Amino acid sequence: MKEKTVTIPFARFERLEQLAAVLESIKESVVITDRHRRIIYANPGAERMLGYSRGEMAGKSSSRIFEGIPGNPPHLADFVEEKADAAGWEGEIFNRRKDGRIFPVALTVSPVLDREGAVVGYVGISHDITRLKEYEAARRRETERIEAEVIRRTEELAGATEKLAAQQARLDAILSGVAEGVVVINSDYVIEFMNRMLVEWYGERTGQKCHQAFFGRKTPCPVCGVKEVIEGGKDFFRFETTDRRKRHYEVVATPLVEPSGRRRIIEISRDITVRKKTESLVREKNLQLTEINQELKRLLRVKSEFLSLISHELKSPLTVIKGYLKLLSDKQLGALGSDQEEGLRAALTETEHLEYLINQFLDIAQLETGKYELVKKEFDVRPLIRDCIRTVKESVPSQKIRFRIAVGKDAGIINADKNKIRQVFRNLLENSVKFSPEGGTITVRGERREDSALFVVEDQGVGLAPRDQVKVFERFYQVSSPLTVKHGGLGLGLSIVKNIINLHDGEIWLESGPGKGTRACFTIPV
Amino acid sequence: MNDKPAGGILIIDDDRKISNLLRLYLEKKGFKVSVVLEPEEAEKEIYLQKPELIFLDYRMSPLTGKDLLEKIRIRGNDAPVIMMSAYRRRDGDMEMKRLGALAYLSKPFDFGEIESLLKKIFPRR
Repeated sequence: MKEKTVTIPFARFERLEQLAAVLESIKESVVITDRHRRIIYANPGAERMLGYSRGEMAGKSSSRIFEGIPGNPPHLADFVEEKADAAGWEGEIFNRRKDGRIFPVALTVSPVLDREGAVVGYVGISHDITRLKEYEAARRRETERIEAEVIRRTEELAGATEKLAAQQARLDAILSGVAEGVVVINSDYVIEFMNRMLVEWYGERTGQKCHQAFFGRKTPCPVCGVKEVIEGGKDFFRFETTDRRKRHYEVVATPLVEPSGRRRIIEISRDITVRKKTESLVREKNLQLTEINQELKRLLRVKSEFLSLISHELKSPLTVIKGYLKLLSDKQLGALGSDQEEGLRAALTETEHLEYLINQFLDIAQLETGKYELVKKEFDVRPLIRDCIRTVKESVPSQKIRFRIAVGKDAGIINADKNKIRQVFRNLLENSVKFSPEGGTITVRGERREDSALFVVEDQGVGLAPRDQVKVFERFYQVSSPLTVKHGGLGLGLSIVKNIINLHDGEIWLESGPGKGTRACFTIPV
Repeated sequence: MNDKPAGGILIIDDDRKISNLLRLYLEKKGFKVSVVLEPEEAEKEIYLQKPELIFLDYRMSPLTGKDLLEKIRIRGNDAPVIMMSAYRRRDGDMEMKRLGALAYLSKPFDFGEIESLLKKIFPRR
């Protein structure tokens, strides 16, 4: 085909040159083809973008460069040409460099028309939009991430809101259910919240000043939770107060701090009117008890003085009576006829019995006031037992009773008040003698146990009913039997013995049965 | 200490009947006995008579036997003293020992006990 020669005027030529210079310098790729898509011009921008030199591109079909690239629609060249023929086309497609790398471009294809308006070629201007696409992708990813985050947060918020609502419901239930009054007061002393209990006590007072609502005061109270917690900065303030209805409360005020730093207080009030009344009653009773205690102490003192008086006032005449009877009956004051002698001996015996009873009475009184202090020391109890047996024997010379001692050396040494232990053995032996039959045997046994010494005074007497075995330790208790009537006494002996053993932290008990004799057993801790 | 009872025994007790009883008993035993019924006079009599043994009542008025014993001990008199009292023996024992009494004799008297005390104090009599 013969090429047509075109003559261009100079001014126009100059303009063309300027245009060419522009084409040569711009970043974009500009490719011009004839109407058969054969490349007739490619600027340096196209060389840079596609990696081909102009020489390599000249005469080549432009469509071969981007046809068949994955991502582009099939028959793209035909489609573009069709569109471009009409009004030009612009869009985004993928292109391929000489080295095979595929990249996105924004492509504008415009038809080149001759004077008659017939398409003689195409101008394709393309721009590498790899960076733009990357940026868009990044933006898309970021948008997706944000959207996902928004969804997650929204769900979280929904969950939290639900939880908060449940908590609020629970809190409401607690606040309205508690027996304490709960109130929230702000720094201006204005009540912002009252729970049900408080409303029951005072009626609805929200919005009023607390001192007015609860105490009928125009100014804040002298002792005030708001002052202490909000102004004084205390974390905890507890006080007691009495309201205008004269009821007493124990109040605990704590701060309620908002994230903004605004402070309010929450006061929890417990009605302690009943407790206060009880306390006052207890105080009153305590006072009474103190008075009673003082009276008891006075009575104890009186008792002690009385004992002292008895000691002196009864024993002084007894000393004179007993002394002269003894001197008389011992014939130190002259010879006696047999009747006189018998009479004096009887009088002396009875006087001695009277002395014994007075001593018993004083013993029990002294032991029971708890004033008796033991004088403990370690000693061998066996000579003491022998001594007691001798004395008891002497007091009943007519009675034929055998005595036996079975106390081992290991049990014999005890740490106790010797005189009191003598009294114990004397009492127990005298009791056994009283209830022993003629010719009977009384045995004193002793054995060492793990942490105590056990002693037993055993007789073959009439024995005791189970009921009496406990009762005999009570003061003035007398077993009802003909023998008791015969022997008399105050019924204090075993009570004294029990007191002495208890003072030693020991134990005492009886083992017996009617007709089986009696075993009086006691322990002394070692 | 002189074993002869000639220096005598002094009974200090404001109860005349008891003092007389004890004097009678002791005189029958062959002792020379004096009695002081007023405790205020007792100290003077102790210094005048220089007794070899004193029977001293615990409970007297206005001066108690305990006060008197303390007084004479402070002044250096170490005559043997038997303290007498209607109180129970146990209460007195410790205190009497502290005050330097030789023995504690409870009322009503047990003459056997007095006799053994006398034998202890005057062993060769």
